[in-house]
Amino acid sequence: MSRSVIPITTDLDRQLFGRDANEDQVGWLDGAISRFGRTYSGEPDRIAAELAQDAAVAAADTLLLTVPNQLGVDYNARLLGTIVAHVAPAIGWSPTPPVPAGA
Amino acid sequence: MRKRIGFLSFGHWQRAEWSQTRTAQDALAQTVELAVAAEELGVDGAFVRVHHFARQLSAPFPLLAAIGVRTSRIEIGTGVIDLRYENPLYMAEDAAVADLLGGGRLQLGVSRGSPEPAYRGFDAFGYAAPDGLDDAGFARAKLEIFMAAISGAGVVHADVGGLPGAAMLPVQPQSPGLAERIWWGSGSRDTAKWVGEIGLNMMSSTLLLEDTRFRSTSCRPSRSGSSATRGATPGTNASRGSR
Repeated sequence: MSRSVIPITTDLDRQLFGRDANEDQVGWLDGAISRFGRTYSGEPDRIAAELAQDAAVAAADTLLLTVPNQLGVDYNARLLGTIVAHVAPAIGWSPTPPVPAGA
Repeated sequence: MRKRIGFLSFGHWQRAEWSQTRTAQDALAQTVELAVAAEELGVDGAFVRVHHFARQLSAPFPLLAAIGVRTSRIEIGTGVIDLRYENPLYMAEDAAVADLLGGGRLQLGVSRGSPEPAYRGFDAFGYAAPDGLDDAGFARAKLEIFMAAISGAGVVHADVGGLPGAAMLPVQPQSPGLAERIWWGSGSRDTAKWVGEIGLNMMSSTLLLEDTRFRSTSCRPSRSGSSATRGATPGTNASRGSR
């Protein structure tokens, strides 16, 4: 299951993704109407609450987050860090426990 | 079951002023670096999309292998490999090599492909469907060969003095457990049902090739398009094999 999840936490985020897009995007693809699924963007707490209501996300055991790779590694690592800290726990995720030193 | 999250990169590159990935090399190297960063953050997986004839990630296995040797814990996967473009036996070798180099962490999404810029690009690769099979049917036939090959089945006769012997040879190398980590990318409800019937894992994307809203039902294999479910074994909720 993949979703676009863009927490807005900085001016740059707002500039790039500020427009609310929390609806399914429907477009014309392959000669038929296709449903692209949701992009979630907004304040982390709000999209965490919305993502927690996404039935498809709840049913999946793996959620893949599509990343805007052209914005570079630092930007995307920060985006993943925000999701890990402020969004993913709302869908029942917790970080993999670090391997103890010497293990 | 513990919920997992991973990132999925399309690996676009373009020479725009704002772009941090001006070249293919940028896109590839940064995908590896992001995987390393994701592992440090506690994220569970690094996945790449596969598109051909576009300025995006294409041949996945060298990239997956590179991620595998730079990371130690995360899952490494595709979403998805278009089987129309693949030779299933060569892909079985590639996949096993990448899986072994990464310590058995591949999670491969495969499918019959999605709309793309090239007109029948897979024909140019030399993989036109034989008479009597449509493209989707050909992709499914290749999936069966690929699954047999990575499961260690003999796929060719041994050569005995220039004649086919009774012994059958599997492709090498073999990476144990890889066959339990294959996902079928489904864009429609019908395919999702088939995935459940053959017992593969199911990967759904943001893309559904019908304008039908996601629906949650209690019947597992027919939760078509609404979930990516590891272990879409018909009639059960059990996780299948991989962990």
